[in-house]
Amino acid sequence: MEMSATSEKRKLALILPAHNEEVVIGATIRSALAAGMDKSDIFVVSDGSVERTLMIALNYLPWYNTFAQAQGGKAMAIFNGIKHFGIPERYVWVHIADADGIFSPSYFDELKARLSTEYVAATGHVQSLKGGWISQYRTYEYTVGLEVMRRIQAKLGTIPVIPGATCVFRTDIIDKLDFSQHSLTEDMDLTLQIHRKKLGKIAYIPQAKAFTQDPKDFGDYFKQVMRWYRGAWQIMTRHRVGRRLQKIDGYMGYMIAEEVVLLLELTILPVVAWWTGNYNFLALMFLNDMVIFFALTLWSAKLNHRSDMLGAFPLFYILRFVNMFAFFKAWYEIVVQHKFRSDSPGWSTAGRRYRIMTEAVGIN
Amino acid sequence: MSGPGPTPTQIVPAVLGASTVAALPQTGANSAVQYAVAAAAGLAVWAMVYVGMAKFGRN
Repeated sequence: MEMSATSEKRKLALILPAHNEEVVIGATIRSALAAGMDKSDIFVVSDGSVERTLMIALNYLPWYNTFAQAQGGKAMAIFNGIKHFGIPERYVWVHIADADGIFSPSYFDELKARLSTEYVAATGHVQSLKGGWISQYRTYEYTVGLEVMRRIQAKLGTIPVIPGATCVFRTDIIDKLDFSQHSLTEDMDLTLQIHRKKLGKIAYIPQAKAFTQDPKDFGDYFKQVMRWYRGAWQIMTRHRVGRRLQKIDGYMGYMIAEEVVLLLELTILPVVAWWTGNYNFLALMFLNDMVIFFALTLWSAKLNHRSDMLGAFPLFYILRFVNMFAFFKAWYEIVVQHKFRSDSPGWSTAGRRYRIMTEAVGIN
Repeated sequence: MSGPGPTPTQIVPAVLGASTVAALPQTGANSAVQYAVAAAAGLAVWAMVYVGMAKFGRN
């Protein structure tokens, strides 16, 4: 990139794409201001909102930092916002965040201190806001998935998704990304484009912690997980994962293998045990799984100061099996039935917003 | 966001289970089944207590 032009630019812009986010947008902007962003660097794009989303944003931001468009989907809201505000000409980095995001108090300072032009994109750490058994399970998933797996992915250069809650791009790659795909999971689509187009490395910055809202009941949880897995299969199909010889293909193959092994444990193995009359293997797998699963849950609880999550430990098995069911249901729908291929500018969060419990992270 | 993806708790126990069975003398193997049944029953009781407490607003 051109270093002379870079030195004249501001370091980081924050874009919040929003569709009917009046319940949460105020808390998100307050959180960003408290976490080190200047109000002149925060931009809100309303995508066909019929609520007071922009009115609330205007309580905190100058009018020229807000923009409304007819509903075109989240990815297009991001792209049009970046163009409308002239972000690549004014900033070196652009941070995109969900409109229900909450940032830790040092979030943007940590990011700004660590963003380096040897990378083309970066992601921070995601944590669950406190809640019931679903949030308790998500705390386990985020801790193991990010504290362990994301560090390994970052070392290997195989980060498969820069999640929407904490998503940073170097502005000189924006024109090389296609935002018009209308994917179910636009964040994973953009990440795979970085890998496929060989645009450069993705950094993981665990010191920058963002908080995210989890579904409050099982119905919302299932809908969200279905969208994630349908999106994952959609992206894997679109980018022909498994048919190229890139590191990301190998890593995504490992992700699929994790679910296949669980499916085999639950289906073929019990049949083999019954057929042979030898249940030892099944029993030892279950015992090993329980010891490892509980140890990881214990570690997650300690790391996040969430001893409450230990109480729900047996229920975590239900959500693991639900995830596996959703994974293969999504595979059947996308790969076998070729569903969800039509463009849809809808928002998955429509009708699923709760007031954010900001006191949990010390933001008022 | 699209979540962290599957977490590594399936393949490792499967490999451990397979290697333990391979190394285990057959005479001691039946106790593994008994431990597994006891553990599953324990988890079921634990889950019922948690759900019961949640229902009565204690959780």
